[in-house]
Amino acid sequence: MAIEAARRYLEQGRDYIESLRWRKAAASAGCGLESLRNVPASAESVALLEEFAGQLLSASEGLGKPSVYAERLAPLFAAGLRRGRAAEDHVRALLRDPARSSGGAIEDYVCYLEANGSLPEDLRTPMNQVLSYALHVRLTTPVDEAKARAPWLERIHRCRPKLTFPRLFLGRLRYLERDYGRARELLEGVSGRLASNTKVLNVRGRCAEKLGKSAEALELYSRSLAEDQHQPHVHFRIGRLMLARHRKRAAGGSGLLRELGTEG
Amino acid sequence: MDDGVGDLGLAIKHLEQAVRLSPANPRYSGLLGEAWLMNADAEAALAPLQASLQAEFHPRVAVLMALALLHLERYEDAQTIATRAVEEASAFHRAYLLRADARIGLGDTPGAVEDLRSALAVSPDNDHYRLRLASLLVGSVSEVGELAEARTLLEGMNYPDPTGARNYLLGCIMIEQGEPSAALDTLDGISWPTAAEVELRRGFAHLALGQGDAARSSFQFAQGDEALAEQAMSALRMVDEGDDQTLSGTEALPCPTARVQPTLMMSSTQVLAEADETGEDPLDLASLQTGGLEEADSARHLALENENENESPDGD
Repeated sequence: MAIEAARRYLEQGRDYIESLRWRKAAASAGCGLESLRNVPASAESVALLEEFAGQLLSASEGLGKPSVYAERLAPLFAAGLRRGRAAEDHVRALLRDPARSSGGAIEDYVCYLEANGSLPEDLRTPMNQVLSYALHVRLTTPVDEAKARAPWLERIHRCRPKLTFPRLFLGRLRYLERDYGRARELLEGVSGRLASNTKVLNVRGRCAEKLGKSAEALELYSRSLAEDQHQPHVHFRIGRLMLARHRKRAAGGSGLLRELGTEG
Repeated sequence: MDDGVGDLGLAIKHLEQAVRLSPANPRYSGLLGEAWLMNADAEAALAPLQASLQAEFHPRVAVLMALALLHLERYEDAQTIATRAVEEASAFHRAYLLRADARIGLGDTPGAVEDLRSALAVSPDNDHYRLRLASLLVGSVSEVGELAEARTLLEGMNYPDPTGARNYLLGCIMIEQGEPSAALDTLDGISWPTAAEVELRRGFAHLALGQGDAARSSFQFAQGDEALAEQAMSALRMVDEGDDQTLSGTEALPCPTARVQPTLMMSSTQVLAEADETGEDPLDLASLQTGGLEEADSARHLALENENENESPDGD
């Protein structure tokens, strides 16, 4: 029913555009969009939405009123139009909005990332920047706060596995949750300049320590020190690991009494 | 990373650097002191341990300090610092142990016995404390009940004793309690603290059983140990004189403690065994994140970091 109604609005809109009746065309496209509001997104509905977006754009240009198009971008996106110019314009508009870091905006960015492959440079960088800010997880972030960001981070990580920040933040979150194995796995995959970043190396070292992999931890801490010698806590951790290794060797892995025997 | 012999040296090097970069951190200086102690350099351990305690009094560091002072034979100071550790953390059994050692150094055996009893009350399954207390009780019997207490302690040990310390002490008690035959069985096959020491005890057991030849042979073996020569000689005279009456008292069974105690002293590695880490110190977490001036994981950086990520997984 809704699809049929939308098709009728679409035909009507085409007629208005051909006869340069822009206001009518805009109104008709608006009604068509409204008729699809509660329809689950499908190839058919998305194709119709794309057509309405085109009609709204033409009408706004014909009327010289950009708002005719701009005000419909969010409803178009919400109705399932996640690709093409209208979706791109929606995301671009969101990025300029003061509420660009709100939960709603983040949801739209993530949906957009999930639906699209290559992105234009002027969109990709600011969007990544906003997402990096909004979804930032530090080791000092309260766990509950970090957990609330996890679903978005996981979705971004799934659709953009090469992207660094979701991997890094998810790795830190897993560390905070004491899932050191998963944290290690995620952080191990951090590439580029951040791979040799001391913060990343230090958390990786800590994960290795927690997992009882002291040789790996020592290696990572040493790499961290090679990047920056002025890290007292890393010197401390290396010292502590080496003392533990020495202690273990001195004890020979034996019990108390055997140890007593070695001292006699 | 160096492996094997150089671990301790490298640990000290890194910990010194940590202290140099962050001199106010008591954990760093505390661990440096510990490392020096493990390196058997109590003198070098004193300054960092002192610095750590000045920044923040921690019973474990206080115990390390007491250990360093013990190594330097500063028993009075060791007792003072161990007492403070006991006062600050009465459930910290190692503090009692270290104070016991200090008191032994000061000749206060009853005080040491009390401390070891306290340590055991806090950590009742600790076999090392059982051995230490038993050896003190055997060596300084002042009440009839003390030997019985020592025997109960030794018989209640939780793990097999591969060194023979338990059996040695138990054998000594059995001889004292008039059970030479059981003592011989118990002393069989051990060589702790030394083979000569054990043989000396076996000699007394044989003597008590009227086995003169076996006793003579045991005492002759013990004579080979310079430290036991005089004692073995006097025991041999008893054999020659057929005098087994003097064996009933402690006088005939010279206190083994003087030799046993140092052997039973806990090593640094045991005293310093680290407490399990629980949770994650917030300061630790923050320290893991301190980087250089440039915040490389800032949003701006991360966005730039992703410049080359403009690829969809499915290639479209």
